[in-house]
Parts: sequence; C-alpha cells; structure tokens
Amino acid sequence: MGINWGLYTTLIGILAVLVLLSAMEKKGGLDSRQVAVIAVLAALCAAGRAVTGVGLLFLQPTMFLVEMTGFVYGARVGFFTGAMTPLISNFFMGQGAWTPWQMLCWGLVGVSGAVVKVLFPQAGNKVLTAICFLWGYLYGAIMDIWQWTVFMRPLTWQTYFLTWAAGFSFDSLRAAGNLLFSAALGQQTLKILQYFHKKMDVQFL
Amino acid sequence: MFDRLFYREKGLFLQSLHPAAVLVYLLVLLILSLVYEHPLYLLALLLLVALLIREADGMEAWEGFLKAGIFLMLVVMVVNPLVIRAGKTIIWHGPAVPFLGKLDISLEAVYFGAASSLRLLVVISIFCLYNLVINPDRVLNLFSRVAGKSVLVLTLATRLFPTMVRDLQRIKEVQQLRGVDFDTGSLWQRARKYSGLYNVLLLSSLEGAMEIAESMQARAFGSGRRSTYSRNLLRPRDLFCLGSSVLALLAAVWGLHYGCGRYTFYPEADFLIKDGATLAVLFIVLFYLSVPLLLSEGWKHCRFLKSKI
Repeated sequence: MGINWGLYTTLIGILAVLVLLSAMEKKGGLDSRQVAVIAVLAALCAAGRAVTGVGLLFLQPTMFLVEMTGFVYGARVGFFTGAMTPLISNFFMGQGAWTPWQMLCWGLVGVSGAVVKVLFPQAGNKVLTAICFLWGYLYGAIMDIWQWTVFMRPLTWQTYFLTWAAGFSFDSLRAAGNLLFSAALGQQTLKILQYFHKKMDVQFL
Repeated sequence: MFDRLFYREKGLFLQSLHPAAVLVYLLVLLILSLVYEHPLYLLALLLLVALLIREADGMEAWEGFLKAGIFLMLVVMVVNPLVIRAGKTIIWHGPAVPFLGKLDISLEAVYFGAASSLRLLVVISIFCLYNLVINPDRVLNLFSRVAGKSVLVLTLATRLFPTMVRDLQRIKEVQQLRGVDFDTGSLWQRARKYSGLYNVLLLSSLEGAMEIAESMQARAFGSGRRSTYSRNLLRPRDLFCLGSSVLALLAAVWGLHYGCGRYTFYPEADFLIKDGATLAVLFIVLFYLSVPLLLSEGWKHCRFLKSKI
C-alpha cells in the first residue's frame, strides 16, 4: 500500500488553507471596511448553513451568497467569506477533519465568483445561478476526494465513482437548493451587495 | 442551539491544558489513526479516545457524532467489498455487472472495509474530543499572533452569529405586527414573504458592518503593527503532554520503520498478532499517549500530584 494518501490529503487540505489564508491576509492588507463586511457576510452565510443544514437537509441559501460576494467584492473578500463560513458554522455543528477541505471548497466558490467577474463583467443573475447549480455537484465531488483517499482502497476511478454515487442524492439536493435560492433571491442580493460596494469604496484625497 | 457554542466549560483537567499542548496531542492522535493500518492498533486508539471522552464528560456528545458518522461508515463498508478484487477467499460469486465487472465478494475485502470504518470511527471520535476539550477562544488567541486579521474576522463573525439569529427573529416579529402572516398562503406566497425577511436582514447587517468598520477605524485599526497579549500559562502538565506526544510519535515512527503497525490485507489477511514486537510497540505508543488520561485521573484522586502539576 506504500503511500498513505489519506494522511497526505488531510495534511494538504490543512496546509493549503493555512497558506492561502495567510497569503491573502499579508498581501496588501485588508482595511477595516473589508474586515467588517467579510465578518458580517461570513456570519450570515454560517447562520444560513447551520440553520437550514439542520432544518432543510441540504437546501441551503448560502452558496449563492458566497458566489455573489466574490462576484461583487473580488477574489480576496470572496475567498475569505467562503473559507470562514464552514469554520464558523462548525463551531456550532462540530469541527472535524472535514473542516479544512470544506473551507477550501467554499473559498473556491467565492473565487469562482471573482473569475466570472473578470471573464464576463456584464454577467447577471442567470450566469451566476447556473454556476451555483454546478457548484452544488462540484462541491460534493471535491469533498468526496477526501473521503475516498482516506477510507477507500484501492484508489481507482471505480471506487471514486462509487463514493460519488453514494453521495449523489445529497449533491442533487444541494444543487437544487442553490438553483432555487439563487433564482429567487439572487437579483436583489446582487443589487444590495453592489450598493454597499459603492459605499465602501471611499478614496481619501 | 445557536446561543451557545458546542464547547462547554466544565472545569475539567483536560480543559485546563494549554491549547498548544492539546493541539499537538490531538494532531499526533490524528496522524497515528491515519498512518496505522493494523486493526489492533486502531482498536487500541479507539479505546483510548473513548476513555478520554468519558474523562471529558462527553458521552452524549459522542453519541451525536457517531450517529452523524453512521452513513459514511456504511458507504465505506459497502463500497470496499464491491470493488476490491485482490482478496483470495471468495465468499460470494456475484453476477457480472456493467462498469464494475464480476461481483466477487472476498472475505479480505469485507475485513478491510470493517477496518476502514473502524478508522473512520477513530477520526470522528478524535474530533469529538477536540470539540469537548478545547475552548475555541483560546485556540484563536493562540493564532492571533500570526494571523491577526483572519482571527479578528473569525471572532467578529462568531460574535455576530447569535445576533443574526436574534435579528431574524426580531425582523420576523416586526413583519408579523405589520400584518404579514408567515403561516398562510401557498408555498410560492410563503417563499416570497420569507425572501422579504432575508432582504431586510442582509441590508441591516451590511449597514451594521459599516458601523463596525467606522468604530474600528476610530480605535486605530490598521494604523500600525498589532500588539498581542496572551495569558496562557505553560504549566508542568502541558510539558508532560507535549513531551509524551512527541515521544509517542517518535516511538510510532520507529515501530513503523520495522513494520509494526503495518498490516497486509491482500491477497490473504495477515495474523493479527504476528510477533511480540507488534504488542511491545503498541504498548509503548499507547503508554505515551495515555499520559494525559493518567494525569487527569491523578489530578482527581491524588492531592500531591494536583499540587505539583
């Protein structure tokens, strides 16, 4: 069995999160407005994740908010908001070996919003909704990597596929939730976030 | 549920340890649980963690964690036998299935699935222990020196979390007083009412964020290097824990170098106890790892020890 991939993927997750967070923090430095907005949005997302995570299974009004944060405020704020969401909600739901990988996934959701902004600056709610729907499955697929490398042998495409298939119904629920919430609330959320983005952007002369 | 953290302060010995000592100890436990393949070693780790959880007065919390882990365990136990073809002792010749090939279930694969889910149990229990004995505030305090802003964001958000749940309740009540009935109407109408709730919450919290930012600015946030202050004492008990964790890790690495803790499942499962060395290494590692448990027992029952650590 030679290489112990379970150990490596867990450590890679922890290290990646630490490196990304500290690099994003050091580079340029966040100002007080960004810190406050990240904290508030992360708390909102975490509340959404924790409250509905218990009540509505996986239909959570959270992923689209992270995505839109990245879209409006850029990659750094998006990543921070995303990465903090599972960390905070897990203070209430229980931390685990899953936390670093969840942080990574959620952070990537935020970054993907910023990428959309760069590629299609005019993108509206429809594009973001479609991406949120895809993220519902992508998130499950990435989280399965951790579970697969730690608990499955041999590490083949077949075992990965079976792990993924076992979680397919949950992933579908998550994707459907993203689609519903993003379609219903996305337009207004985008408007509110952009309004505050203008308000935040103060230049001292 | 959301007005309190998962962690509860109970004045236990394990909770009084320095957070760095506990983090190192739990990290060593996690690494060992991921490295060891030997079912006996995993079983011993599970026993140790279970005893520690009992010591931390967390049997109820553990039950919750285990319930959440059952689905994962089932997946691990079912998928492994279905796909592994390396086992020699076939117990069931299944039909040929597209994509997977011929379904031959071997005893070794079932055995491996069971051992893997045992590992899953250990990992879940270690994190249950983490949640029971480490105060999140103290961990954040530990990291505030290296990553001040991330920790600040985290602290602010954690503090805002219960406020937000309360705000939501308040907004809902205000809306109800204005005549919005959340319990009537079709699903679509109800969803629209709730979406109004969400908009108000988002707006008012972002407005609050601006106020927080201004008050941080007024308190000279970001005007220079940040000063830090820590009140965590490093007591003899923490040194014992740190030392024993490092010794356990060293002993485990040394043992693994000679093959103790490794285990071959295929094509035929190995003997559970191959030689005396397997037991000896297990005993040594377990002894070092159980130092916090022993200290905790001593702290409770021996006044002399309590005064010294």
